Amino acid sequence: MDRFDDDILFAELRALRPTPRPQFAAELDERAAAGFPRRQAPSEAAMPFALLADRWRAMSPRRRLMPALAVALAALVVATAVVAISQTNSGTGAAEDASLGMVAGGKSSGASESAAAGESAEAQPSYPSRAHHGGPAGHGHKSAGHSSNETVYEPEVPSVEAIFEAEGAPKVEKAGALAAGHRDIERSAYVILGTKPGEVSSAATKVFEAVHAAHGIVLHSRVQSGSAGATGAYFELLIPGGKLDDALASFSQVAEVRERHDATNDITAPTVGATEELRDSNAAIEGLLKELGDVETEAERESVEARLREERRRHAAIRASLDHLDKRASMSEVTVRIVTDHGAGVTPAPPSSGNWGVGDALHDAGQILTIAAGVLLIALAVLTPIGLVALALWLANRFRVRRLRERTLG
Amino acid sequence: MMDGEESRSSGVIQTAVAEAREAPAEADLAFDRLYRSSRDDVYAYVAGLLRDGPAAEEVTATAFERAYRKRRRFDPRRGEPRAWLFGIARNAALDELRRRGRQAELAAEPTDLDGAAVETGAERSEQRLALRAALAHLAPRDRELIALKFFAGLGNAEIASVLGISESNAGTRLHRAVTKLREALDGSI
Repeated sequence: MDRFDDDILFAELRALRPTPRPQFAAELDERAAAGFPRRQAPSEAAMPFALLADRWRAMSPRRRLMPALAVALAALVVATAVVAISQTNSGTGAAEDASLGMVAGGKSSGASESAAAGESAEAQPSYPSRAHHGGPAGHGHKSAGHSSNETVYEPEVPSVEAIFEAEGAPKVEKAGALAAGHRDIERSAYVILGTKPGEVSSAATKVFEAVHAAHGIVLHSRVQSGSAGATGAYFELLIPGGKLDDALASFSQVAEVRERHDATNDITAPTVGATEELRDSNAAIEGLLKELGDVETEAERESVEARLREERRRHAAIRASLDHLDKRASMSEVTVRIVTDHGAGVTPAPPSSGNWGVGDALHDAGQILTIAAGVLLIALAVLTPIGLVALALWLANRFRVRRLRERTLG
Repeated sequence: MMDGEESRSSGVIQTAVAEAREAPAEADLAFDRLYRSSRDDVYAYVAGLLRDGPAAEEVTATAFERAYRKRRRFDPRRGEPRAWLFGIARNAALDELRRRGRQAELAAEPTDLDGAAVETGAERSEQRLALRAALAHLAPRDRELIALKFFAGLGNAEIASVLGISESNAGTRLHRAVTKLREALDGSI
């Protein structure tokens, strides 16, 4: 047999080309016309996933990017919302803690100030309190942050001065009383009452009546009543120390007591210290007055008068401090919150209680962006190594499959 | 006047919408063209590689099915559509071989190759019988090159793209495969 030349060899090779059976070709044409439907009928449970997987595989890489980004964005939004909500919840506690910290801080700063003077502070469990000692000097109560459907009840209550006059003893006599074993105790309380949404208004009225009966002062009140929605009430009160227990008992009868916190703080030491300072200042003023009567020259007179002015200023400051301590000892801060099943109750009005404005919006937006950035950062920190490992595994598997395929050919 | 302008702009919009609607179908049309031009070539290549008619049919169908599902992911910048299709067919064929553990059978005589050309001309020709025997004795890798070149009708550039090698390398390998085939043929003759 003759040896093939190239042309004959190639022609013979082409002649050996396998051709498909007409029946197979016809079936394949039909399947092509139908868009190559799946040959194996997937189980009913796997069908949606198979269809999704098919759609996913059919997508171009650019088209795959869009749903991937959408899923990532949705996950980011959900995570941000979850974190924001959880922060809001813990933030309420944190705000309460912060407000407590503010009060406790005030007390603790007072405590630290007093600690130098030997004050022993007994801070009880947390309770929010925003009572201002330098608050209203006049009659009635001060209320702020009224909501539109607020019910305000204004009982006639005695002034702070009247209460002090009725209850307080002359300041300079304090030292003697204290030396005789009297202790100055600052008391405060925080009560949460639960009632039905429709009974908030009547419960609030009973609270006002109880305050009136105890000769207390309403520093701040906020009542939101109605049959639905976020209803509740919030009160910041000053109750004379001697009538605190009666007042708390009255509050307990207004509605179901859901929470109650009491706190005491011994402020005897700073009171004694301030009283002694006041006595020294009085003596110093008397001495300066005598000295002023004995001066002979104009220069000496001016010098003594200057020292007298300085001493009187110091005397006034000590007296104010003592008054403040007396108020703390004689008037107890009480916070009452009425909550309902439909709402968390009226939240304490922020210090700058005003309408929600652009500044607040920017602040909130900044917070949300910060949370989103944090979530994104955490997600990147978690997903980047996972993604790198997945990429490495995918590449390794791809390499392995390629090698296995090539090995098939020997 | 206004009506005329409105109808013109409406017509333009309708055309744009129609084009936008047709845009996704372009990939389908291109795939249909590719299918019609490559169906027999793909089968010939797969059958030449697998040497098993029913298996070749199964793999050919699977290859077209996979290609159809991936048709929108085809990137023309990365090669010709035929090379892309044959790459998919090659992977499907190798997967089939691997799955069925047919590596040992690769060197065996084909069990069922329904080719009219094979049945009609080659059976009568002693030369063709010798050629078929020589093909059967070729290494699978060389036989794949022969199948891609002479059964599927791919050019060297397309073969290079399918195998993931350079065009010159593909030409060199093809030359070696033909030389080995000729040696086997000479040995059988």
